[in-house]
Amino acid sequence: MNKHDILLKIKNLSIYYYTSEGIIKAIRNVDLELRKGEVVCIVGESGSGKSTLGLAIVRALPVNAKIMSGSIIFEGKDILNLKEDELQTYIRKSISMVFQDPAASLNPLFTIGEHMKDVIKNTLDIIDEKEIYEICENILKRVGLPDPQRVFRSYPHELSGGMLQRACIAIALTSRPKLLIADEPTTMLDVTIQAQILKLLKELKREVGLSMLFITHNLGIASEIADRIVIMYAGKILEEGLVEEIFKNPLHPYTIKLLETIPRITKKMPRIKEIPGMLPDLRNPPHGCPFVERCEFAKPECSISMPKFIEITPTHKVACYNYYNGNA
Amino acid sequence: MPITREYLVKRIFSQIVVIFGVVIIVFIITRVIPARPEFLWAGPHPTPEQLQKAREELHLNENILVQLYLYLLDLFNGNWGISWRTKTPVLDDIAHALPATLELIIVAFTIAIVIGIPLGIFAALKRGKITDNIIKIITVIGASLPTFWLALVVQLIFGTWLRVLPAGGRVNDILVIQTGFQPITGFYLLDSLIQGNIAIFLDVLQHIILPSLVLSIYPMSLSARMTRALMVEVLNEQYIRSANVWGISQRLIVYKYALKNAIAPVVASLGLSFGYTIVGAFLVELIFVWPGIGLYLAMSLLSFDYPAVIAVVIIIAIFYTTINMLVDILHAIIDPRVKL
Amino acid sequence: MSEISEILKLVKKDIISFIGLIIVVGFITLGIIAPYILTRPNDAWGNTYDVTKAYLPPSLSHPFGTDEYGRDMFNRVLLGTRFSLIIATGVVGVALLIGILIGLIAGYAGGRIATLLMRITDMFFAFPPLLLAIALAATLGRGLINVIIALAIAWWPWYARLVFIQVNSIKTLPFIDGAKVIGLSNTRIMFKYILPNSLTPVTVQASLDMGSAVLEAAALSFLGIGVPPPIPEWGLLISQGWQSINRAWWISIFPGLALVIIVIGFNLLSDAIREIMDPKLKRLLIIKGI
Repeated sequence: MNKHDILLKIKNLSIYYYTSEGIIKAIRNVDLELRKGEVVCIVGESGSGKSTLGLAIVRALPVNAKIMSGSIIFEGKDILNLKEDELQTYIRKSISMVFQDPAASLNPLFTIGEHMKDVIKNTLDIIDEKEIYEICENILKRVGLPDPQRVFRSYPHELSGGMLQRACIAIALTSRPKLLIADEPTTMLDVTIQAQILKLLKELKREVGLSMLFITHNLGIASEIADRIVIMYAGKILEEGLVEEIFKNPLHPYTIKLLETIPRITKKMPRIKEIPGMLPDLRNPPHGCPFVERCEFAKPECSISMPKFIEITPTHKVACYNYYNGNA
Repeated sequence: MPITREYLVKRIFSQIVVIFGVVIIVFIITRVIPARPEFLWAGPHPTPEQLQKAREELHLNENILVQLYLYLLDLFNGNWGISWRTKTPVLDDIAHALPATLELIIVAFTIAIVIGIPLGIFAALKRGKITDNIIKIITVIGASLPTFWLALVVQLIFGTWLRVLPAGGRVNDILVIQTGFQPITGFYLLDSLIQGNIAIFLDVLQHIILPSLVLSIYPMSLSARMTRALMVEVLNEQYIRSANVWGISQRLIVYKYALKNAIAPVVASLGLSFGYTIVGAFLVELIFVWPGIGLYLAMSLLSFDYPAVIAVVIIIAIFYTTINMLVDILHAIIDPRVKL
Repeated sequence: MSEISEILKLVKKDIISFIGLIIVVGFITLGIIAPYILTRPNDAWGNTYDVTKAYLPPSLSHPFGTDEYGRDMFNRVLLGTRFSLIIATGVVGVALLIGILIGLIAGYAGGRIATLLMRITDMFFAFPPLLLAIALAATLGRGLINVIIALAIAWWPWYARLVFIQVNSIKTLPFIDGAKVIGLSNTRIMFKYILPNSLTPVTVQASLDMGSAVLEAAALSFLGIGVPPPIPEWGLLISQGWQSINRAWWISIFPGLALVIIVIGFNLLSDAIREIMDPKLKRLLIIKGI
């Protein structure tokens, strides 16, 4: 597999949640591609479906979620139809995930080391205790934890938020995955710790060639780490492009608005901008573009059907009727 | 998780305070509430002389605080009164009967845990399916059966009608004489094994099966239900999801990780059901004529042997709170987050 | 109130909980009308003594057989429902009264009073559930009222603790501070504002405890320190049948079955209500049929 091969290919994925309050159509007809060594950032508000996407790839969706259509192909294998034992032996070793709340992601009754050891036992087929410990120590050091031995022996409640997230990253990397999915890993951390974690992830990408799917609501964070950015809204992808393209030439009205909401110290802003309106009710999503009710540039066709993607450049595409005949 | 000496000391100290409270409450129940306590303590149909004697022994002519002091002194010295039914000191009677009850309770609890917890895990793993619902129904019925009634039914069916197991008693006395069995610890199952007396061992086993099974039904059902509920809850937790994603094997996730998270509250609830089991043991002993504290208590109640009844109440309360303290300590060992 | 109707709606959906509801409602109804629908009231109240009819096995005229005095067991068990209901409501009612009062005062007053009251409450927890009731019942002697008193005294600590915890969390809410600022008296605040809001877990617990109350009263009667004969309380009936169980199994079995059914009913209902009130579970509810 050479550097630019496609690692992950999602086609026409639709996922619904069945709840007592109705059927929530969280993701509708989503396509996504990720290449080896790439960092793709999915940017969207809460409720956009971005977390669902991440969970679907690792097959960790809650019981009431149903895959209505589509496929997820990883290294040529169809993930959605894998049987249980193949799931264990293949996917668990190849794809891993870091979650938003590091404290909730760790079992409070077990040490970090215990977690790591059990991952190794199941994914790396190493039995020698000493070897296992060395591997753990190395990974813990690699994620920037100053006292790896202590962390190894520590329980989650003994560590601070930043250290916990580093520990989670360490555990996630123990199985030597090819793809790491990071679901808002810095959202619950202090800003300074945030920067450290981002730096760590960038280093990992560079040194180990780790491919990453980074999920966030913060376009600013995305700009720090992404190669490509995917803008998601209410279960649909609105725009996709290289990070420079998105920032220099945002196309979709939603993307433009997102950029405006990033507070800038340098620019003089009378007040922090916000996007008026609310997310559509996903139990009854609009037939057309989901952003139609909050969009300044909405046209009649926007409510009727979802616009197809228009490629502005080979790497930059947008789903918006405003681009159908030339420019907006 | 290391338990600090500090914690143990604190815990034991509060234990002593609680026992003191128990003793005070018993004092209030037995001396303060009744209008004429000497009638209770002198046995049924007392003669005037017996009443006078009782009045003196209870120091009823003294100030209430003096009574309390003397009462505490008596307790401390092991003078808990004479059972007028057996004509021996109550404490001796209890010392004799206690191991039998403990043996029964231990066997019953072991059965309850060994069957109940795996049943709960199984139901949790098969959540929503038919197996789960069947187990649910069985455990609800099990938790609702009155122990004494169940004991009667079981004894009737297996002891009297089918005659497959002894209907009562703890051991065949003739066999004891024949094989020269000597109790050492008071736990006959243990003693017979120590002495290599297999005949007695099997005999006691036969006698203990019915009562302990009946006694185990309630804690078994409770632990199955609690285990199931907790496992389901735990298996939905985020840390189980992440353990799954990171690649820990399914078997470890259920039997090492989730089980440990679920077990702490299950242990706590077992401690609670223990209280009901103690009382259940009384009733079971009564029906199966098992020579333990329960039988002693029941016989004392039936013959209005008040001193014996109260002595048993105090002993059981002390025993119960001690078990609760041990359960708390066990809980702290399992869960490192418990504040010490 | 709307919560209760929502609970009832959800209970109706699940068959098992619905059975529980039916049993409980049936029990309460029977308990109320029992004395008026007896076919052989004299037998039920224990006023007859007909040796020729003693120990008759179950038949059409005597569905549950007769006991050693020739009394019809079916009628006795039926009337027993009334006494079980009386005991259950009596025990839970009195325990609630005492428990809520103590929990309320302790929770609201805080400080030394709270510690004292809660310490006293804790001392009661040192006794295994029935043991204290046994000691009290043995002291007070047999009698319907005595049974209720004995069980109520053994039971109130549970409610006191529940209410205490609730009041503790409510009294820190801002609207209580507001009430104080306006100048409302403490008693007024306690009873008008805090009390109504802290009743929910306790009432749920109490209504489900009624089943256990029946069971424990039966145990006391079985031991001979509960209600006196000839009251046809189920525990007493079981113990009376115990003497002759080898030749007349029906005397003990049928009252026991009644007990079992009632307790099952309360347990099913309690499970259902608990599951419904658990907010976590609510979010995971899956529409049936998927």
